[in-house]
Formats: sequence, C-alpha cells, structure tokens
Amino acid sequence: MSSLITINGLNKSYGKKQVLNDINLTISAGQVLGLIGPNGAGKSTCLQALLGLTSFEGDIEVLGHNPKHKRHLMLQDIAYINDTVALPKWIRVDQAIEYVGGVHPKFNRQKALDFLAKTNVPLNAKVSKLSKGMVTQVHLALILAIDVKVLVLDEPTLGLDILTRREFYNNLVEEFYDQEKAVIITTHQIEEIEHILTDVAFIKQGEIVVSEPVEQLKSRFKLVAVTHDQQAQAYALKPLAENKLMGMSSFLFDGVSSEKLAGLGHISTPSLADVFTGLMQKPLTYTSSHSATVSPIEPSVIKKELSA
Amino acid sequence: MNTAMITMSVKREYWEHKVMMFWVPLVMFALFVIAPLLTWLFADSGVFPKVLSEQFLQHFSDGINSERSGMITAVAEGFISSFFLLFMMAAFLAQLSYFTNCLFSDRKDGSIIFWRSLPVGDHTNIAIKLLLGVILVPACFLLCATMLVLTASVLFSMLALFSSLVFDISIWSFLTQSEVLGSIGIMWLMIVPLALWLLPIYSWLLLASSAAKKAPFLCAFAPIVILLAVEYWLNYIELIDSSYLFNMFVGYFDLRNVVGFDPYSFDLWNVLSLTMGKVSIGAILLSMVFIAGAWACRKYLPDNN
Repeated sequence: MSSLITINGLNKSYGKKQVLNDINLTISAGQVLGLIGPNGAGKSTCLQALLGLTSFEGDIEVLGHNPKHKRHLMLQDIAYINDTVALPKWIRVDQAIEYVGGVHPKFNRQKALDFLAKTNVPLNAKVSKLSKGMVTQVHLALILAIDVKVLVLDEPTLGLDILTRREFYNNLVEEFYDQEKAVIITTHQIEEIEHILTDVAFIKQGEIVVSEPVEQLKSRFKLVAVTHDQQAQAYALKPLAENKLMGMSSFLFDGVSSEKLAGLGHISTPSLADVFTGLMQKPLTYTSSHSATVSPIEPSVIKKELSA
Repeated sequence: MNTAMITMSVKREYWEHKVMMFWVPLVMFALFVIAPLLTWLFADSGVFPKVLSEQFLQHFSDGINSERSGMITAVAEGFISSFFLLFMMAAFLAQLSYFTNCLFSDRKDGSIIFWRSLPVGDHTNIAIKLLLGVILVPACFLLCATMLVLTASVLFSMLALFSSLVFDISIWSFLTQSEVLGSIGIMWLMIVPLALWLLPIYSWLLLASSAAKKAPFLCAFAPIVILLAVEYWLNYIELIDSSYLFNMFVGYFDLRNVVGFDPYSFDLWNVLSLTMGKVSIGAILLSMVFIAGAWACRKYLPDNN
C-alpha cells in the first residue's frame, strides 16, 4: 500500500492552549480511517491542518505536497467536507454544481445530479431556502462527484436522518472507495461507520491515544460480562473500563488472553464504541483491595498503559 | 490558472453580486427612461411638450445648421458626460461596497471553508475579485449608461428627422456633430485611469475586508479618521504646524492640482488626460502592499479558516 498522507510531529496551539500535540499518522491507499474523539479533542483542527486550512507546526505531506504551499494543486486530488455546513447561502444548487464543475478538473457533473435525483433537493433552489439536511445532501453530492485520491469527511452526516446517513455511507463504499484511494472520517456515530472502517485513530485532548487497524484493535480488546462474585478476579486482571448494568458488570480488557478471561464470564468482541468509551471516559485506577475507582487520566498515561 | 477556472470565478462573483452588477444599473437605466416618459404623459409642463414645441424645434434645427458654433457638440458632450458621471458615481459607491464585503462575506457566513476546499488558490481568488471590482463593476454601470445615451441619441435622431420635414436641416450633420460614439468611447477609456487612480482606496478596502473580524467598512475608515483627527488636534494645540496628512489625502483626490486643468473649458479628452495625470507609481506600489496584505490575511489569519 502506497502512503498518501504522512503526518509527523503535528502541533497546533491557539494562544496558550495546545489543541494538537505531537500527532503522528500515516494514511495509505485502501485505508478508510476513522478519526474518533470527543468534542474539542482536535479532530477538525487536525483535518484542517492536513488541508492547509490552518497554520501548524510539524511536517505534513499529502500526495507529495506540503499543504502550506501549493495548496490549490493538492486540492485537485483531495476533497473535503466539514462539520459545519458551509455552502454559501446565496448560491443556487445548480450554480454550485456548475461552479465546482468549472474549477475542479475531476468533478463529474452527472454523478452529482444522480446523487441529488435521489433526494428532494430542487436544483433551482437557493441554499438559504433549503433545510440543514438538504444543504448537507447538496454538499455531499458535490464532494462525492469528485474523483479524488483522498476524501476527508469531517462529521459528514451531521443533521441527516438515518436513512440518508446509511445511503451516504453505502454510496461512499460502492461508488467512491477503491484500493487506490483513502478516506478519513470523523464522526460521533461510530457504530454507523464501524463496518466500513479499515483503521481507527482515537484522539483525546489533541493526542492520538490509539492508532491501528480495526481488526487488530478488535482482537486486542475483549469485553467480558462478569457476575458480582467474579468481580475481584476481574479487577485482578486490570480491566481498562467497567460498565455496570442490571447487576452485571462488563469489563473491557486490553491485551489479556482469552484463556485468562475464560473463567470470568461471557467474552465478546467489543464494538469500536465500547473501546472508544472505555479509553476516553472513566479509566480505572486500582486499590490494594481489588476494587476500582474512577479518576481523570491524561492521554499520555493512556498511551503508556496501552503500550505496556 | 486556466480559462475555465477564471470564467467560473467571474461567474461566481456575478452570481453573488448580481443585485449590484445587474439590477442596480438596470433600475437606474429604467428610471432615466421611464421618468421623462411619465413627465411627458402626466405633466402639462413636462419636458416633452417643450421638446416638441415649434420654438424648441426651431432652436434645435438652428443649432444643427450652425456647425461652426459647435452648439450640438457641446450640448451632446455635456449631456453624455452628465449621464455617465451619474452612473460612474453610482459605480463608485457600488465598488466601495463590493471591496468592503468581497472577502468578508464568505467569512461571515462560514462558506470560506467550502471555497478554500476547492482547488482555487488564494492568489487567484484575490486577483479575480480585484479585477472584477475595478473593471467589471464600473463596466456594468457604463453599459447601462451607454444604453441610455444610445437610446437618447436614437430619440434625438428621430427628432432631427422629424424636424427635417419642417425645417431645413441635415440628419447627417446632427449625427456627426453630436459625436456620440466618440464620447462614449472616451467614457469607456476612463475606466483604466480611474481604476489606477482609485486603486489605493480599493486595495485598502480589500485589505480591510480580508482582515476585519467585524464591520470592515468601519475598520477601513476608522484609522484614517483617527489619524486626521490626531493631526488636527496636534495642529490645534500648536504642537505641529502643518496638515501633511490632510493635504496629502485632499491633494490626491483633487483634480484641480493636475497640470493642464482649466475650469473654464470642459472637454472629455481633457478629463481623460487629467485622470491619467492623477495616476502615480507610488500610489500603485502602496496598493500592491495592501493587496499583498489582503492575500496574507486570507491565507494566514486563523479567522479565515
């Protein structure tokens, strides 16, 4: 797989606030990377740095280009949609299609029209007259009709109903994706895109805490449903997170073998959402009595724990 | 930068500013056509009854016949330049509005990310906006002024033809004396020197449009007003004894201080050459600095992303 994007030591701060801290990522052709993080983790800033839309420190190479220079050349092979619907209010849908067709050499007008034909969006309507969901559909139609090598989607389906969201992701896989291209997606609805992701990177407070293929991540983490009398043994194996529900506890373990976990209860493969919440929200710290308490934890500590 | 990209960028500006580039000049044209017609139709003392009176037609034919006095030429030139002046003043106001908002509006509505996610460089974007603002916006107004003058010329030609039935006049003499096309040509030629002369204003507004967090017009004019006020105050308390800034601003826009200015003779060629005389290399270089500043703000300011 050829590397399309390389990020080394990416740092970004607004005044004294550090929003990105030593980000290192490599994205290759064929990858569909989910960049997952809580609100304010730095996902959008990371993507904007990637596209040269904001200043940054560090080295980024996108398709052989430095985004700080010749950004317009780089954008011939990379398309971007951001979380805040950003189409201008005054433009008509047909004008937006004509404009993108005029300035982007790889835009397929018919593809955009076909996409919009499946929606209720009138071509002669002004963006200001469309609902938020419709505006997103127009933006997606424009972006998906561009035959680029890298597609960057920052919360692409925000404001869309579930039917449209599913249709969009189906279109993404069927019509856009192939082994020569890469897609980077950020979203809060991880469960909806889990099936299309090949790789995932979790970001917390501007730091990447986990970055690896989805298959590897799923074989590494285990979710075990533990009854009350088995909890002491479960704590002894240092679970990453605990979730109590209806008298049962489910523990998330990192790197513990199935053999060790077999006696505790039912073992299942966690979803990405399980791993994400386990890593992000309430990490466990241990006391001598094998009970666990929750406490805030820094991303660097998570990384250290995981690598150990 | 290819042709399709330039064409589409121009179209985009036209779509965005259609009211300013199309409707405002067209409404002005319509008003100048409709107002006299309404006067003619509804007012007894209007212009047209007087125009069609025997006394006026006599003067009109006398004017055409007395070629040496140059009356028709002077009247036509005055008439054409008055109309063009009105349209050019309206164009100037439209240009002020255009340059103040052209880089600010897409930051205000958040669409800047959409525009900047497409393969159009910031330099291309700024160049297109600048060229459109200095050339296309006034051209839209001049086009309507031209339509108006040509409409009036056709009407007066018809009047001359009508008069020739009663009086001994030559329609060709009227057409050649009025020099309509020549005058219109000069007015169109004025676009370039006017653009160069006023480039410091336009580029300063472009910079304000690119840099201001809010109220770009205020951001553009407040520093100048403050500077002039400080200079006035320093003069008032006798700390300094000159109004350098005030004189510089007034001097730059005052046509009277150009060599060759004659307040008692009005000639379109003279106006054109006077405007050319106002163009200075220093002002153009200063404009380049402002334009570079607008580009840098567009590219590097965090608010622009």
